[in-house]
Amino acid sequence: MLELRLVQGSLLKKVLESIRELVNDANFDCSSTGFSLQAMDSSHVALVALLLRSEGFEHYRCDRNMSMGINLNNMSKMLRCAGNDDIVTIKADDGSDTVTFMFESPTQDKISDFEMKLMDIDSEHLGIPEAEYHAIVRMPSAEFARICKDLSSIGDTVVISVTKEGVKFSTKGDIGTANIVCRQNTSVDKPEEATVVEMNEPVSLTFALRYMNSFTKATPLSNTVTISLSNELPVVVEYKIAEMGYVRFYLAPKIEEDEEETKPQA
Amino acid sequence: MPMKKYYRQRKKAANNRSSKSKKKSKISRVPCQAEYDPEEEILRKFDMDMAYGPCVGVTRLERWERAQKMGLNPPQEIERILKSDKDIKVQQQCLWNKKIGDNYKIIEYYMAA
Repeated sequence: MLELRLVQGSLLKKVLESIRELVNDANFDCSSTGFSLQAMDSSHVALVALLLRSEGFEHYRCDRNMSMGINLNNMSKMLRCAGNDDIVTIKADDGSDTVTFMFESPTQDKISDFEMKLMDIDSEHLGIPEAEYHAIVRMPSAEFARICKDLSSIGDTVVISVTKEGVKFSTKGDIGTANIVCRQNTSVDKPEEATVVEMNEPVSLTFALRYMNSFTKATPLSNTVTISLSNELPVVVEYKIAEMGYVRFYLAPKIEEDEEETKPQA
Repeated sequence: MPMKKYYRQRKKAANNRSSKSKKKSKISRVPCQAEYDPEEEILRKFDMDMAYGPCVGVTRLERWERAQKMGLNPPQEIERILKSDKDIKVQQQCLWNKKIGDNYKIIEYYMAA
């Protein structure tokens, strides 16, 4: 039997909004550690990994590991019926083929419940080890979202380069080119407004902007976004969920125009 | 230089559906192909059918046309699917291809568990 109760139900609403455009159907995996998901988009270029740790829930019961196959758009429709201040409870019985969402208003005078059929989804989980990245950029999430949106009005791809000077986002298109440089800036009023650039090695990678613009749907989850880059690895765009976990997006780079038809080099 | 496998395989996480539950759910779950539609399934079978030669290094259409020229009679259906432009999910590259269009696939970096 699975029963999870989250007082800050809006977190779950925001989580679904952040992933439903990228992935249609996915398995939510529940274990004693927490509630998680790992899924690729249909093109297999991007991957999303979600973790909500059990400690972050007000009540967390998961008798045995289970995977629930869910259509994310449908789950999002149900969650949109919850008020932003509602307490959300997720329930599923072992062996059952449905999951129930219950929303309680903070004053307990309105209670809604929604039942949804589960699906059988065959998904492969990828092993993603911890890695040392060549460069890690931490910046305000709204600023990163704005940069991706602005650049996509000019080009389809963004080159992200990190040097000692900072991080540069570049694009080019029919109308011209654009470069946006963000320098390290820690002398700000609030820590979440800081831009921190950690560089072990200079890095330059090209990515499709349309995926970045899907990732930035997670902006409401966190004031800051962490972008981890390595020359031979997918970029990791992470939005931390306070006290609970994270949503991480992984994006494989584009092939450079003059690159040979070979695999990514070590 | 051969493709370097960067990451080791991960142990498969336990799945409750295969565990010993006493009662099977009476209502069957809705089956779903999360990642690709029936036409992609047909194209993958074509990729794997060795009668038409290796699939790596050529697009599916090139391979179909090659098979046609060699008198191997590849199914007309394959050509029809590949030339139809209604479904953006139809992949022109074979299933082993590490790229989709000009983008690498994420699965080229991380091994399946």
